[in-house]
Amino acid sequence: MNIKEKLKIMHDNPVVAWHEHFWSTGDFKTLNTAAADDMMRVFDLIGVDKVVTSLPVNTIKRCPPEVFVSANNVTYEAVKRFPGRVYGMAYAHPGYAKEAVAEIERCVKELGFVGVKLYYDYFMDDPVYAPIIEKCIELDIPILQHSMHFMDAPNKVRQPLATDGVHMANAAKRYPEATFVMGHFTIAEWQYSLKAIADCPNVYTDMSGSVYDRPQMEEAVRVLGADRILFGTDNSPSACAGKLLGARISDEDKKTILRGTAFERFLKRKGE
Amino acid sequence: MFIDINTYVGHWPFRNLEYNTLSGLDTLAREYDITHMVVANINGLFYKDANAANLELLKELEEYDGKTKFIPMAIVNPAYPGWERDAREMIARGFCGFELAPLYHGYSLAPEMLFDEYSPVHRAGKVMELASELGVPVRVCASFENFRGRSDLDTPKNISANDYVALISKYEDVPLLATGFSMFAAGKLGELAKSRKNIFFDTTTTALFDSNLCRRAVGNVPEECICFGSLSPFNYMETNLLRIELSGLDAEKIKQNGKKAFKNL
Repeated sequence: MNIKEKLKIMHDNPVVAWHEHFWSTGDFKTLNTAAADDMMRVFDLIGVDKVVTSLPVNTIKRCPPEVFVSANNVTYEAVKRFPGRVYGMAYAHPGYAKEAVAEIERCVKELGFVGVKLYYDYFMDDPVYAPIIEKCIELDIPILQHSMHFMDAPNKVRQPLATDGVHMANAAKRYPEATFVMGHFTIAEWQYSLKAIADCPNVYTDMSGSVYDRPQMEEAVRVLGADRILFGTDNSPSACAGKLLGARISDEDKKTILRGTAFERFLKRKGE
Repeated sequence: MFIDINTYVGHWPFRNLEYNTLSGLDTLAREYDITHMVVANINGLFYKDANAANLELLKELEEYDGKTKFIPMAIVNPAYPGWERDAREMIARGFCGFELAPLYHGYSLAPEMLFDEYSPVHRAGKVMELASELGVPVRVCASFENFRGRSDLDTPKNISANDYVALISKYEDVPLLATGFSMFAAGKLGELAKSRKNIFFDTTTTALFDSNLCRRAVGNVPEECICFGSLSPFNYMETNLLRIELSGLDAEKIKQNGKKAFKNL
């Protein structure tokens, strides 16, 4: 078997990457078009058809509304640059509840964004997120949360409010009508996070991230089922395509993950 | 020939591994026509006497009847009595090189310690001397699991390639297989590889690729020093296969470069 032959399953089937980022040039005002084009070339190489992207702000504490609005406008630049292929998710800081809710509404209703991306500003089960979650329920859009159960001291210091599976499960039980995505389950202590969300049918996960431990995909399918796993790379395409191709799971399960079957409705609503 | 320079058998105390036997690795290798695997027994990182793990691997090799050819590396703890006798014996019994694991055997590679005659760490240099005398390579693996998800009982440290520079510089004739270095760690060792041509990195070294973007971006490691390495069974092999196929590197050369580290395969 040649790896290129194995890659055919991605080229021959619909592939949606649900956890991507087209970065700005550093100011959250201008799309880095060279990097965006480069990333799309890589997506072409591995057979990704549709890309869902966001621009969370990680360099400014308590990111103010004017910055997250600007960041979302950069995401919209990426949507316009690759029409029909790239979809946006809105980032907002929950500390500015009123502005965050208004921004999410703007992004969905005016810019056609298909979800919300949250960062490590608070734990997902913190009540500060209530207005955002309730707005997402009203708009019927998924909430993608940056999630990791860190074991290392530097990241526990750097991201002290990073959400893990337990926080996701708490939020999901409080809001059973919301749709949550625990971002990049594959990073950090992934077995912990998978088990934490196992009994929460409204928590999905994506397989993005640079870590490609065997057998994390087999374990995710065993614990959650393929229909609760979304494909994504978080800018690590070789790691993510590789772990999907290498997983000892059925081709049907691989196609379900690649297609993001459970989330198709969020894109179809846009008339695609 | 298609050689994977970065594989292990044995038990990892912090996570279940599959395909962690010679026959398991053989299953993975055969799927992609990998003909050779450089292998060590990971148990040697945790046993007080590392050589007991080498003897386990020797027994497994004797019983193995698969297709893939294994190139065994003896894990050596130079801070443990009798290491030199054990190391010589393992080479005599068919092992092809040595593997150092300072993070797990409790010694530092700090230059000021390495060449201090009174330091037990000085013996890491003695391993290099022995490798030079016997004409065999040395393998070092920077990390087995990503630092963000390691057990509290595992080492929180990563070895940087730069940590090896002092040790490696003194023994120019000893080939080094430097596997598993993190994105930012190839550094000075990569520079050294330019002139030495016998320092080999593997595809798990993400510094050779631009944030995993499947294309070569860091130019300080010569292509002839980049080898296919999968860190099987810890990782999915397919990621590393994709890297060499999609990177723009000469995939056929990358598949064979590892053999240059060994005189008589």
